[in-house]
Amino acid sequence: MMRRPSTGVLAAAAALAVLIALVAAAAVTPPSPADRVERLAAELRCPVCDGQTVAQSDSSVSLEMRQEIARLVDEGRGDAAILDHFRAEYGDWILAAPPSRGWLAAVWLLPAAFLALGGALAARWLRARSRNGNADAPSPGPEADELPPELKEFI
Amino acid sequence: MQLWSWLGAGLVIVAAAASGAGSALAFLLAPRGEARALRWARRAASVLLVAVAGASALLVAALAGNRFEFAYVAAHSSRATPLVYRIGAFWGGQEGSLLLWLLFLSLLTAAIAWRPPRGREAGALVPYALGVLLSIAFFFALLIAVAAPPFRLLPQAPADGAGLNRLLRDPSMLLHPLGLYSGFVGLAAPFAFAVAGLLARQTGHAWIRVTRRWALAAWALLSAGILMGANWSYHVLGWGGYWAFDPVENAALMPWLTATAYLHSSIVQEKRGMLKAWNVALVCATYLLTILGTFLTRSGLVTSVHAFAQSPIGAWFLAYIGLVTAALLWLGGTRAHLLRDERPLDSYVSKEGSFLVNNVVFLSLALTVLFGTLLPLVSPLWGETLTVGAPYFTRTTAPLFALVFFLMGVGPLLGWRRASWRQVREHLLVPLVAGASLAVALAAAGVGSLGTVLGFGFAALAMAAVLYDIALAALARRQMTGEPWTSAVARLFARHPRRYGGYLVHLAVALIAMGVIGSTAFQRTATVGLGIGEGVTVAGYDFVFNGMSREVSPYGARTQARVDVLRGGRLVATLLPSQFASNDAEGQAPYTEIAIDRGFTRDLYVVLAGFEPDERRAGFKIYVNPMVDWIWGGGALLILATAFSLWPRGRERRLGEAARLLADWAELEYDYRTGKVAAADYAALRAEYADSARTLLASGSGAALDGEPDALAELEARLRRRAQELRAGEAAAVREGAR
Repeated sequence: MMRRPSTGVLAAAAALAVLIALVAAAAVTPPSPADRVERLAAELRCPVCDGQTVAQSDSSVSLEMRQEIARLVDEGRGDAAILDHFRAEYGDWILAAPPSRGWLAAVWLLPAAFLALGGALAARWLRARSRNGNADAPSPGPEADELPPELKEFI
Repeated sequence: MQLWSWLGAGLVIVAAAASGAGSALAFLLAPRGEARALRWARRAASVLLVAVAGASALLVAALAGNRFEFAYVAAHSSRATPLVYRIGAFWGGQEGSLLLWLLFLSLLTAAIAWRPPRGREAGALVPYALGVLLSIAFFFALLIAVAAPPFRLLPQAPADGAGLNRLLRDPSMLLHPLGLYSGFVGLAAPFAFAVAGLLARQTGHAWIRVTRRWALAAWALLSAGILMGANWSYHVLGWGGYWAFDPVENAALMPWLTATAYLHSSIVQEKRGMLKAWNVALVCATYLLTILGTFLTRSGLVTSVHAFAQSPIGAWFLAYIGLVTAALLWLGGTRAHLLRDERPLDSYVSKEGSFLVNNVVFLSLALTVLFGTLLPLVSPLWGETLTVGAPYFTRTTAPLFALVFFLMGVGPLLGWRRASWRQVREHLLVPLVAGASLAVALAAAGVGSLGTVLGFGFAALAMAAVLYDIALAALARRQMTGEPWTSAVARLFARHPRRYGGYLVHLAVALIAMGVIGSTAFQRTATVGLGIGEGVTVAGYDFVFNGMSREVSPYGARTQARVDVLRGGRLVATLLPSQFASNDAEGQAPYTEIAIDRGFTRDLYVVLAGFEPDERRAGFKIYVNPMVDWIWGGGALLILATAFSLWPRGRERRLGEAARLLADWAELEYDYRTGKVAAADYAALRAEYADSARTLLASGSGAALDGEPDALAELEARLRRRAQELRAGEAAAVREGAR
């Protein structure tokens, strides 16, 4: 009862993917320095707003920070150097995502820890279950391949 | 006006009294016969609905009629607020939105009280479930009556109100709370029936079966509410994005994540009798998260930690969450033995196995979001206030979401019980090739970062799996029935709305994911000051500033800039971003109105940031946002697919349990014929279905079959005949042996 997928289907899927990639490559323009400024602004917290990043905020402080980022981008500084520049001025707090150094690394490992813990608990729970045994696996009846007549008309 | 105020407050007190008394009566009487308990619960539910509807009508009338004597009306409405938003101000503030919560809950309670699910098992649950729902109503009614009274009068009526917050005067913000709250409240239905099952000491899945529709509808409404909120953020706030993992957004996302997990794990219990305790825990967690969500949204607790001590609402919610958690833990602890599974898991590599992993991933997602949201509240306990922003959430949830999409690619192609690695390999080949070749091709074309490319690959994997599975099942159907392709696909959907409606939802979610990834990765932007006639190029589009104009209406004055967008010298769109100064107090700061030209591949998005007094020069924020429409299109498909899945069908109603059984059986036949289920498992599962069919016929013959001359009776007759044949065969064999 196994159907091997034909090479035609596989080739069609791959060809479609290549076509999509070509269209995408033609449509997507390379990012400009302004896009880099925007991306970095989304990494920095607005110092005077409630829970907004510089990218989201219209406050004058955010505006000044944007201009500062743009100046640093113009100077040809790297992303990390620009973020460090603001950290030196405001402290770690200015980063919307906490740095992954020191004890803050734990904050980053948490999702993986949740996943591992959940997986371990599920596995343990399942092992405890399956120790109770699993006997019901009878062999197929003689007419397993045939659709039962009761069903034929109702599906 | 004094009379109105008393009447409103009185109605809320009546609602509290009715729900409190009704809940107590339902719990007390339910063990001694359901009829009497149901009668009292019904009375209470009716009084509750009438009282809450009356109070709501009163508040709407006060808002529509500009009764500024009421503190709520003065704070949230004004003469310059258009009528539809004056009515929308009902859920624009804390008191009103809590009343809206209570109104939805009263509607749900009345619907369940007056049209209770049928069947013996379900019937025993109804009084307890109504007791639970009425107890929730009691909490909200008491909260509104004591801590958030909507009908408080001002000592001196002002001439005009402050007006509805300008940002909220938008159609999607009008609808967003309705979707969110109806979703939250709808999720109380499975919670109430799950707790009822524990209270009534029922071990079956009746509670899941009778609330399946409520849960699914609530999930779709919650999804719609979240997406409308995102859309509002996108076209009102003017930052070019739609989702920021803000605490209030997270408050809605968390119950959505656990509800999604529940929708999947409940299928495992219905079909395989497994994960019983887990489902109850999940549905309770979802309910608590909806309460936590309402609390976070309404108390403003997280964005401003200082509001905590001042807001009386916060303490109420915390006390309620604590109380409910304690009660649930006690109930779970004392009744856990009822929730033992009927059978163990056969193999990790099976549909139930993939659902289990799905649950682990969704729960990890919910916990991650919960942790990040509550961190600023919890971290001061050890000295330092720590907050995490959107980049943290994006980076931590993205890999987990990728896992979700991987499971969406694998799950549909696995059969129940156990799948061999060979089967998995062969079935996964097509979706894997589709997803991997898209990722590789995009990477080779230099489009986007590694994360972007992988994201598209995983979404494509999920899409391909759904399409491939539909094709395989249609093929199997064609083999069994000899139908043409079109009707094989159509019947497949019509006969198995739950499964294939669900797969369409998978498609919708994959579309949304592609929209999110594309718009995040490929957004292009510019912040510029332009003189008249000057322009800037963003992502190949030329944005040219062509002057300003002013228009005055009874509500205020609007100054708009004209921006023509050209591509290759050809005019593509004319955008009119503006600033609006409203005539009421809310509008004194100018309000920025964004102009968007929406499109399938890209949105052109322009914000008028400011302008010189002579209106010869203006500042703009310009975004070209690709693929944002995929999110809203995917959202529309999600709603339509869920509606398709939920749509009542005559055949299903006529056949009841038998329709479900036959559908399950037919799905097994497809799965066997497409090679998802091994022969031995197929035989075992089929024997189970045949057994249930016999049980069903044995219990249902009689009343259930009255006036059902068609399919079910037919099936019964045939099964009886078959049983007789078998018995005759056995007797013959015995005679044969004796001879």
